[in-house]
Amino acid sequence: MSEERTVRVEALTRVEGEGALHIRVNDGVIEDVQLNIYEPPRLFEAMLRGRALEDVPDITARICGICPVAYQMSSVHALEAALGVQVTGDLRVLRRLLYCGEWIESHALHVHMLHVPDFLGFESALALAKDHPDEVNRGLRLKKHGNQLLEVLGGRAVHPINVAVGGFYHLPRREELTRLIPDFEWGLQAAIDAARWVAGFDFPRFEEAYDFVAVSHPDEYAMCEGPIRTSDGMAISADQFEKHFREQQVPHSTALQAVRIDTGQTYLLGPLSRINLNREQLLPAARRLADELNLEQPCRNIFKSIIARSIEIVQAYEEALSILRDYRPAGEPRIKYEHRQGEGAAATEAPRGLLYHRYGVNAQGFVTKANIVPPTSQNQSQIESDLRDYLPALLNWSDDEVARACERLVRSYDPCISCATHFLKVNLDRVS
Amino acid sequence: MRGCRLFVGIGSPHGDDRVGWEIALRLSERKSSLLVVRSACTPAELLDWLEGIDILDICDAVASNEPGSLYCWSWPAAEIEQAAFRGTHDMTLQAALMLADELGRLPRCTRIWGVGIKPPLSGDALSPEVAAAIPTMVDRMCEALHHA
Repeated sequence: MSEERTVRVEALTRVEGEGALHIRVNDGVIEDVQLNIYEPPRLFEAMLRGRALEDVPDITARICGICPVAYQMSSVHALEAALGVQVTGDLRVLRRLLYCGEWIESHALHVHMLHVPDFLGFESALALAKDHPDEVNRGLRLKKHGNQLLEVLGGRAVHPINVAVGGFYHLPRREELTRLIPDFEWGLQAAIDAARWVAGFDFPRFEEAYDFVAVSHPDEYAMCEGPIRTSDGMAISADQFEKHFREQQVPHSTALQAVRIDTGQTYLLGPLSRINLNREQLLPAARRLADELNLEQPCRNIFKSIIARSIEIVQAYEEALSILRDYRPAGEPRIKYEHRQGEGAAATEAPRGLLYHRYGVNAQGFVTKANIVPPTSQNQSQIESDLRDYLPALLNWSDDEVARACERLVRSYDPCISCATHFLKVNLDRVS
Repeated sequence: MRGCRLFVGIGSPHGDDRVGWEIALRLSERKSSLLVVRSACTPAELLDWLEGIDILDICDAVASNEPGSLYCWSWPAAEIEQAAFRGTHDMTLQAALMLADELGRLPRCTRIWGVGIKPPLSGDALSPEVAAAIPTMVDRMCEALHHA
């Protein structure tokens, strides 16, 4: 007699946005795994068409309250490519500083408030705070530093408003940045302590033959620029993205999923991919820490994303401190440009992974087409693939235990569902 | 000696849900050196601002059939759990305050002020009922701050 079993997680918790997971098992065989993203489509690309190109960074920032800088960075780089503008020197450095702020606030929030409870057996950050108040306080303080950078450089902590095509609307005064240095010196050491803490957790034994994909740069840990590289050796420029990666619609999700066109296979974005592909470009303290923590090279265990994410917090502090110490405002806040007809694409590294934008603009400076491919939608089919491979070892567990284990795997991706719809219920069907 | 006081208006740009921001604006125009006034999109933001704060006042919109109705609770208050604060964000105001309390960050006095609103639609303007309630609410807050 066969046994059919359904596990349902009606609303995934400790993820950004709303989604569900449905798993159907028939006689011990995984028949179906669906990551249901049911937030309504937000139609940002359609909203952008016909708007002045200068409006784009402010509108795309509204896609996400956690990673607005990523949307601003990918949009301005793509528009600058369309206009033939290249932002270099101090303005380029300040953009990296702004991105450091976002990585710090987003990663610190995910590590301490959303993900650590999984490893220590707590239902929530609130429950974690009862037994580990110092660590939770540390996480909140790190997050605050990231937000402070966004406030000073971006004009406000959520949905910053100071990023412009060609640079910034306004440059901060030197003292506005230098007064952050003591906090960031504390933060660098605190981030190292946090990474050592999470590296000591017990990790499920689960390894996958991932195709890692990330932006890479020969001279720096890539954030804003560089070719898109894969672990099988492909290297393409951002404007080739759509020739190699395809978005596809699935009935159970309002977010598009993505696969590589040449292999038809899923791929992995995010901190684990970045560290695996770009470890040599980490700054000295972050690289030493990755070695000290014995993070495998490459690491193929998605649960260890929390270590990669924590090392990236150290990387962001290290780079931010260097920029804060050297900052001397000079010159114009942005490069002048002329409107012209053109098309441009860019990929930058959002906290959750590669974020691709492409825009067409006309000679009057209006957007004629827009395409935005967020990291969570690209990771969505990889998450489903992981769950299919992870579930067989869990089938003797109760439905509640299976649901919790699957949610934990999903959280390793730090999915941002609001961005992707642009998550989580778990349903497990066991057929008998 | 009076401690440092913080007012946080929580809101969004949508219709009456912006009432917390409007009240923050009115309070900041009174230029009290004793009061720090901030606006927030999400309750979690106030966790960043509590260091050195002795008295915390928070104002948010409250779902109600009586737009413009005014409320005030001292935290912790059983009513707050029942009051449906219309935050769409991950961490509710209640959760943010509970976390602050657990971490020893909560000021000795925390009050929550509510203005009743009907669910707004994106792009709505402030309704006449809620707009009319703002001066009364600001006066009540100033009175409470004066006596704190």
